[in-house]
Amino acid sequence: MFSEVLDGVFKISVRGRDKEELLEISKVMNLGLDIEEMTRIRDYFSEIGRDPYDVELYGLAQAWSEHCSYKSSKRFLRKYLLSIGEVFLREDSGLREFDSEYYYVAAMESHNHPSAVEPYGGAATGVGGIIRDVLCMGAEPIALVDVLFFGPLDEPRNSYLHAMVVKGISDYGNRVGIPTVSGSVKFHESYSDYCLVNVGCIGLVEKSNVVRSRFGSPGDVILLVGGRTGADGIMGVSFASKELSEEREKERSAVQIGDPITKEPLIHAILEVRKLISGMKDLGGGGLAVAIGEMSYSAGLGAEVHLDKVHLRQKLRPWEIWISESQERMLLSVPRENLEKVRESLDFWEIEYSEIGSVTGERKVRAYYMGEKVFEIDTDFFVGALERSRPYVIEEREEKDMGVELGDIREDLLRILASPNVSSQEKVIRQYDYDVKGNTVIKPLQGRIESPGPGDASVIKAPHSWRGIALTSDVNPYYMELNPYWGAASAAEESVRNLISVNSRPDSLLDCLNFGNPEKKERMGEFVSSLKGLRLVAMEFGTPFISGNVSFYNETKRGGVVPTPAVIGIGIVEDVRKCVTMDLKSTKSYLILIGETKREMGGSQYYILKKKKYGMVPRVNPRETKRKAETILKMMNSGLILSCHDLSEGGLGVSLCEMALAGGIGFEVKIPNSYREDYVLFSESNGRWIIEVEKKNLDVVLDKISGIDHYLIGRTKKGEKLSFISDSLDLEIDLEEVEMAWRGNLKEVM
Amino acid sequence: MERESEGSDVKACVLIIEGTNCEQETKRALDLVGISAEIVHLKQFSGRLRKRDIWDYHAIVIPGGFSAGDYVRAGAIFSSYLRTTLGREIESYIEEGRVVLGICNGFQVLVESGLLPGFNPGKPEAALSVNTRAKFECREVTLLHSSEKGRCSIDILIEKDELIRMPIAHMEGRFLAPREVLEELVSNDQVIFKYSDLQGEVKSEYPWNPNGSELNIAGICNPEGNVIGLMPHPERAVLEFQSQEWTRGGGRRDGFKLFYSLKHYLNEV
Repeated sequence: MFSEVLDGVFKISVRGRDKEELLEISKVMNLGLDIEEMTRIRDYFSEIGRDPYDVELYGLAQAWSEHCSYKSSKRFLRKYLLSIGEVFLREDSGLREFDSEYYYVAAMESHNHPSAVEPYGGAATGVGGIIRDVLCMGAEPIALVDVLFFGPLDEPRNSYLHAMVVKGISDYGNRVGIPTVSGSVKFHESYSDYCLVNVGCIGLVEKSNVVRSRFGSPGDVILLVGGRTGADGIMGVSFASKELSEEREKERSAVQIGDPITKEPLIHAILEVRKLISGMKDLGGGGLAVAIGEMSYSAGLGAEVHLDKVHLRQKLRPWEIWISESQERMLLSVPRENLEKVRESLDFWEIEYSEIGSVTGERKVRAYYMGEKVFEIDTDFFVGALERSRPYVIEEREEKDMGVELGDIREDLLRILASPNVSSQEKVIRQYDYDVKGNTVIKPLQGRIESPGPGDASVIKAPHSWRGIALTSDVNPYYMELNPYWGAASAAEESVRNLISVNSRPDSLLDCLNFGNPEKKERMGEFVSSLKGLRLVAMEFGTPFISGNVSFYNETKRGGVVPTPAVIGIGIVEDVRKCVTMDLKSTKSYLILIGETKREMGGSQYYILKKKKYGMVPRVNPRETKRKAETILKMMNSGLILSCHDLSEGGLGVSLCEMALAGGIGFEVKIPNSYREDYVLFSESNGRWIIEVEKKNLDVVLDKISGIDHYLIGRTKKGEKLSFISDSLDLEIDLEEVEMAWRGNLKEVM
Repeated sequence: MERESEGSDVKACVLIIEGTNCEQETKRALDLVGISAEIVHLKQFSGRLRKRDIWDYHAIVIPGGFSAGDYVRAGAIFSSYLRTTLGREIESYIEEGRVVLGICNGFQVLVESGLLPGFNPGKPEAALSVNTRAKFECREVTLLHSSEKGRCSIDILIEKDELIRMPIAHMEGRFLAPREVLEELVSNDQVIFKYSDLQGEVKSEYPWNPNGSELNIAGICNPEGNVIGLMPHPERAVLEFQSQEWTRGGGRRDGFKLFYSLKHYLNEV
């Protein structure tokens, strides 16, 4: 079946093989290809009249992996997410207009499997990879966002993963000098022994400097630039396209090693040469093979490369060179007349590179080793051909709310403030340099220096003007567990609400879709429901999904993770000097609740506290939310709003407490009477904000919001008391107690 | 951004090696006060590519970052490159009265090189060690300007005991030195900035002293006052919109004052 034809190169006889034999080949070579895919390969080679080399089979296995090909998801992505709004360009990153001179460039990706096995390196290289995705468009990266999911921290393995992932992101992001400005850390038992690490990166590029992720013209020289190619990350994508077993946890060699200090000069060099090159792509999943294939495919061209010319860290076999996922590498196509200038820049920055081949006009990818051809496949067969139609079933969700017994509201409020998904993440946030580059005008922790609160979104000012970009992220695993459709819609809506809170106009979304095994039809059903939920909100706000990634097979021996479509929201700020934060500003102002509070308790922090996994997940009415959002933005631009905070986990009770502790100001509020007081205080209905308004502006504001749901709920006041009053409630809490609970010292308060 | 003042021919070099990462905002801050800044890689002082001469600049600013990854001790590798590239020339540069300012990682480089505290240039006498909490720390801090006004090249517009706010972002910022070195620093009035609470009281506990520095030291100068090291980042505090509390009406731009002082100083000498 296998015969060595060159030193280290095998030919595999696939022609005439039956299904069992083909599967056996896939298995012994660890290709991760199923029978349908192996049959296609057999038929292709039968047609061209020869057997494949191992270099070819490994190359195909990478290009056809779920991770690289999106074979199970792309038809759904096209239908639900990629048909919303206008996107200037959607390649390794998505591009939208920032202002008349610039595009903003954004990408988001998961690095779950590697992080679950080697959390420090896995998380760090996740950051490295996403930076390269933005960089390869010719853009300067300006901010990072990370969205992390762990099991409960009282289990040692989860606590270890949490500490190491945070350290990995902090060490890499801080070293490479790109601020980590936003993100979230969520906990749910389904992530136990595992974790989801989703990272996003935003950049800016002058319109004339955009570099495409495809080859330029036939004859252009192909340069492999950056770190040396080694044995790390070999078959990383096949690894990411399977469920994680204990056996696989030993596969640490499938995790790459990152080096931010190789990356830093690489960024300088790339930004210098961007006007001289005809195409550029980051080497990610599937390594050189996939980058060459995709750059050829996108250009409708082909390539000839010489694997022996690649600069190596260690001796590798040809197939290993072809698919290694070593970090800090970029593929450039350079018109011959610019080659000297490009070399000068790379030499100045002491970046290693090799000229590995050239672009051809024929739609074929060819690779040679020591002059012998070891790979020759039609570009269109190699990448782009594969699409799978997975069966799916959407399960009916029972959402009956059996209610809870009314307990001690003061104690419940403090416990929710202290719970993992609500309490302060300051210890994590301060490990990230959110200020480097000096453009972070609205920071992740907002309000007074001595006791800042959790901001809804952060804002980065463009270095060249007063315009800015607002960033936020969201998804609630508890909603997703009960109802993927409304859970996903809630994630998109909360992202949008957060962007509004700081006075930015929602402009686009990024998606990182973390799901279980797509070969299971219930999992595939959750995937489809989630996409529909995301679409509902994005359509109304006209916010396209400009970039994203799908990560399937997030399953461990304990079962699958809850469906987790993490969303990053990107907003445009017209003038950063008009941004609004969530901390209370004045002791003589009014508090207004915008939006209707319903009894939607499914997945709420209150029900989690009461250990109830039932009830209706909050619904979304995007049209209504948009109307409210537009009114709020108008008022902000007229300077009528002192502070604004979105209502989410923990509802009205928690949001008010957060505003108070960030501002160091007390309040007295009368809560609406629509339901029992605990439901009103802790409901997590979507479409709501609290705004703070100065007395002198109250009449103007009330007039402007007369057409939308709102409740004038009370006033801020001097002193350290927070009072909640209703017909049946008279609760007064000290600000200090609230602060202590939220900062993780619950025991001292109880 | 508009420049605050024009018509200066004062030039500064923002000196980098691999892993330096605050050079852009440092250049922007210098440009903003009217000091014409150029980002220069250390190898440009010796190598054949894009050659530069340190004597063309009135000041050298070593910005923040993780030079060479800081995989040994923060600033150690940069400091050793500085020695092999410029050798005694950097000392002559300083003896001539030109200014060297190190920010964050730059401060670490100057301490590793022995240029600060500068009692015996070339011999390290202090260290910027790992924060007592052993974690990277990013926050805005309050600093008491503890030296006399005009003690060094960056405080000629800052009153004694004036409170300054700037962000810090570092893992290794804990200033440590033997008792006699500390005593000499104090008796020479070389301690420019001390971490304090919001009211200006020098408190040793976290978070007011964010890294556990001895005497709450956040910035020092050499005996002559023309070599300065700061752990906080003035270049991140040149616009009021960079400060933590600007949406509360508390916007400040204290970093601007430091660079503006530097410009005044350079104009005078």
